Amino acid sequence: MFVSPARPEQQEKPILTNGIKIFVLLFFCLPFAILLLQSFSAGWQWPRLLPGTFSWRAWQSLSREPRMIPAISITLLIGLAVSLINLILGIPAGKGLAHYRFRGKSLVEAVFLLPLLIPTLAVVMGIHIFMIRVGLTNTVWGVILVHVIPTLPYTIRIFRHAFENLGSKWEEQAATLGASQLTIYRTVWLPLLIPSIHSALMLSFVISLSQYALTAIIGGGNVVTLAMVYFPYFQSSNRSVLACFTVIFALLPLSFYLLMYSLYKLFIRGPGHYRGC
Amino acid sequence: MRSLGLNNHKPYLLVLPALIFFSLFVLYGIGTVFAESLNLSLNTGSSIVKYYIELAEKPGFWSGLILSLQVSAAATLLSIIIGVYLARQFYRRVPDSIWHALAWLPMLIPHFAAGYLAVLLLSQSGWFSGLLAQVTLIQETSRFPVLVNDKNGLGIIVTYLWKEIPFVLLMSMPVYRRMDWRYEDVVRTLGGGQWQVFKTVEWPALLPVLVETGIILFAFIFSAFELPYLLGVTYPKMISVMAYQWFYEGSWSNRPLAMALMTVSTVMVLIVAVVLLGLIQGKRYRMMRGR
Amino acid sequence: MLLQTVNLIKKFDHRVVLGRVNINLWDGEILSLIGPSGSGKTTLLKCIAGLEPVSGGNILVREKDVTGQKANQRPVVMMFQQPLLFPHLTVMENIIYGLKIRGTEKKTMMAAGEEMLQKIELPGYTRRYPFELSGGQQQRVALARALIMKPQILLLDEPFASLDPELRSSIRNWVRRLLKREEVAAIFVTHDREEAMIMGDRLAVMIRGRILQEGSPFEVYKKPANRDVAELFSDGLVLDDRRFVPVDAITVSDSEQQVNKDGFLAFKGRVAANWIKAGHHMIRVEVPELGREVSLPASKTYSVAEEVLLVFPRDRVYIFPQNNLEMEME
Repeated sequence: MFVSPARPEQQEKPILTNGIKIFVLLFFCLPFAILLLQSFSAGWQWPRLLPGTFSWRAWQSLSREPRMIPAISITLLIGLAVSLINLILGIPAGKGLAHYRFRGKSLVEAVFLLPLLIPTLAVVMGIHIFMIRVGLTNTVWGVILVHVIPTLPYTIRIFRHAFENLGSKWEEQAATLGASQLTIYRTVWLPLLIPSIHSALMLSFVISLSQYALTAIIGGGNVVTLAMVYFPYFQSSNRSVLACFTVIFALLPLSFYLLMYSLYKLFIRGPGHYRGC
Repeated sequence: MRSLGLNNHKPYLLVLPALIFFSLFVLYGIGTVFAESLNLSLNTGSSIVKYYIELAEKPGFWSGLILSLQVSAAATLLSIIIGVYLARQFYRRVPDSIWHALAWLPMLIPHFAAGYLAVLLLSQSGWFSGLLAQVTLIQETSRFPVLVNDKNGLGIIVTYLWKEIPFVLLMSMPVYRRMDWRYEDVVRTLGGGQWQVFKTVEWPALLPVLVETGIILFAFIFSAFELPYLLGVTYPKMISVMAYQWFYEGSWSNRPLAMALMTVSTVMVLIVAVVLLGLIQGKRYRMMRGR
Repeated sequence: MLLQTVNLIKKFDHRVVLGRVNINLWDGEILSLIGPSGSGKTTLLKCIAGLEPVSGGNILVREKDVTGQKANQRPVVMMFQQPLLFPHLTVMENIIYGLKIRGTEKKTMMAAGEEMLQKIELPGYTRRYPFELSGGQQQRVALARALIMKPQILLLDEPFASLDPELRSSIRNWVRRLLKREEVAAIFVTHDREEAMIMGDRLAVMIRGRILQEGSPFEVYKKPANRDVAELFSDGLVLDDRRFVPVDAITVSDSEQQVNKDGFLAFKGRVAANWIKAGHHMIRVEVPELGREVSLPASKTYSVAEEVLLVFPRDRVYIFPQNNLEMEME
């Protein structure tokens, strides 16, 4: 009889189980709660654990910041472009590494890993002069390109694992049924890769959102992303306004997620459709 | 893995776009940094490593380097220890994915936004300080230890932990899901307890992934600018902040210094990477992968 | 008595996997435990080893209750279907693994390890890694890893299932000799009749989580307690829930003459397959009237689909001492 490798049995010791849950709540979730409270508080006296009064004041004053709407738009635009470039470069690269053996493969792998090792700050300093020469400094395109540097290694990694797990059997099956390369990509890989595309998009977007130094150096102050507005605010003393601003940073990935979700619901049939195979 | 002929061009076409991108930017970039860190004006017999000598004599360089190393090493090690512990407990005790999703929340927000959470919770007038005052452990804000904008980078470390433990979870949970738990029965029947199960069954499977994760984290934290800039102090200053300011804020004359500093930190990261990778190049771990 | 399980019960959720199992094991004895797939054999071993908590009943080792003890405290070592050698440890490190946990002194440990390597006939393999070994060699190392612990009881869960048939038959004789020489008491689980007979001093038949019969292999073969045991372990034709004809009483005939003799019974059958085993022509015959098949030796060659008669003397019909229905009700 074959005994499948099963999950190890649950041990008794509910205290430890609850301890883990409490740690998750306190360490990972509590800061978000305090942040939300702070953003709606009007004057929070130390050492009170809850704000005395709640108000929309901080949100209102942040909405009066004229750079806010343009910054959010440009940030979303850059994030979207960075994510798409990641898919375009990352999916083929991941497939090449997962399904083929070829001369120089380990060298290629090393080059794909390098951006995670070499400080991006160094890379950007190095290409600064080059970017000036080709006229990409102070432009949105220049910023998009440098944001691809810290994101693409992760994307390639995600797709490499995805293709390794899927294997090449699907493609071979489709090919024997007479599907062309393009049809195979559209009807086989795309639906099967949905979860990985999902993760790659989210990761690229969040990393792009988190760039300050790269944007500052290449954007030269002309490309004003949300991060560029945020940094000067950090030194300002109003905690509640900064809390609102921080909440927006948490909301952006969420809205990006929803946007992507509805987009591919429109264009591609979800993986549920293919679950039978 | 398909065993196609070596002269087949298809894999090259697939990896070429990304390869060109990385060569154009990353390889060219780091090459330029190294070139510009050298003193190539050959007049008056000045040394080719002039900027490195200057760097070594800069006030704050050594203390900054040490601080950067301390913060990166501590944040990386602690993230991995806590992350793996959490992954293990999640896998064994808390299988419901809602708890995993909660632990991944910090991945959603940028590092600098997490920095603000550190200010809110850990500064002297922050929420935890308030909590301590409520239970009458302290009476005034100045009695709370300086955790944000402190000399030892404690606030920076804690914030990195908050951001990177979920990353370690993300990397190590799949290892737990793939693990062959029949080996746990073998260990237990041969007289081993929980610790032996971890050491013999889980650790060898985790190690390659943890080495990879560790290198990524160390390299990132060692050279990241955002958090040290917001949560650090003027002296000692972490080297990434130093390099950014020399490169971007000061006059152009400081740029070669920034380049030298970046070269130094690249070399250090590569050394750490090589040492860590060496750990899993031994015969035993090649066996594991060959399995 | 070395090992005794008393009314051992194991449930997964609400499904009963083991229903009041009582088995005994004496010093130096090898007990074969045979049963079809999914009958609960592996679960029983895991319960005895302490790898699965029991839902009821007790496990006694030398009259001492060990039911509450953890696996690593019990004087019981289990060996699995697959070798499950730790891939990152050398052969020697695998063998002395248990001693190391126990905190044995290094010299003693290495000496014991070398001695074990001699016993499993793999001297010189000290520094090899498991992947360099064949399946049979790996399973021998796994056996050494278990035996070095000098367990009072060794549990073997179909240890040869992953090996190919030829290797299987040579390794099981070898293992039996080794166990006897080391004087280790063992429970040997298998679903292979031949293996159960060769390996076991005694035999227990387990079906649907219950022990249906215990005894010497030949006794069980000749006097199965009920229909289920007969179908699993004996050769012959089961007539109904109460009656059985052993294969050596049946003759194959192609004429009707014998049937009319007094004291004989006959069933019509059709040849479903024929082959040669150990020099004898064998045929498998379908008996439509009983809805059963039986394999038996034939004196001449028959072709597939040929009609035959199975004839046997009435007084060779064997009546089961137990009724299956009674068993189920219990």
